[in-house]
Amino acid sequence: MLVETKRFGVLQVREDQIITFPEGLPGFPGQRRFVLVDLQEGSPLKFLQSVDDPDLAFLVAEPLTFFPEYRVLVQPEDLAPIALEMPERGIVVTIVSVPEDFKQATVNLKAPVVINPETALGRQVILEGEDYGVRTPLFVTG
Amino acid sequence: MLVLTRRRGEVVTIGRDIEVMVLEIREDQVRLGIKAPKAVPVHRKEVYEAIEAENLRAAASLPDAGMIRNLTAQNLVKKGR
Repeated sequence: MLVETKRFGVLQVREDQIITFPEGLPGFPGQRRFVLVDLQEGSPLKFLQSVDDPDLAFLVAEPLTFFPEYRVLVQPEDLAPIALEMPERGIVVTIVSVPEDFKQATVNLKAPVVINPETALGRQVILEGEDYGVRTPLFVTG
Repeated sequence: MLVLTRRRGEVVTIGRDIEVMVLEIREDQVRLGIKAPKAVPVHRKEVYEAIEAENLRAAASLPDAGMIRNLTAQNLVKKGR
């Protein structure tokens, strides 16, 4: 199918590439369908683009590239909505906020987005027990 | 708002599927145990609101794809941790 976007033009997307978020995302409860857009092959940065709202996209980062120690520790019931029984099979990305100066970008490690590649279901989980911030600097500055 | 008084170990039910138990009472803190179906997300309100706010901020902050493409992945990884 064709997905219209503000930043990437019209994307040709296979149905099986559409990730469904049954609960939407916090702040965007009505947005259920997204696609992961590769900025450039092999890049740890991608976009999570809404299928239904051309204007809505998030820059997302593969957290382990930037934070090798990062761990997503959740309860099994946190992953039940996306039918992910083996957490290590999930794809984890974290949402980046980009101020004018890209070097000041921050990433939300408190609430990673977990995707089950087998069911194409996604969920933004909240790591209740962990001491991760919602605005962790993505880059070491200075 | 419905207001109920409960002692330690007592339970409030919400609908048929949700139970909230008072586990422990300290000076200005209450520990609650919550039983709810898997489909019902339970969060500390201020944490959930912080995630909502951050998502809205992230969506509003996204620059043009062109500008981001200019920052190549290689550069980003080198600058990253």
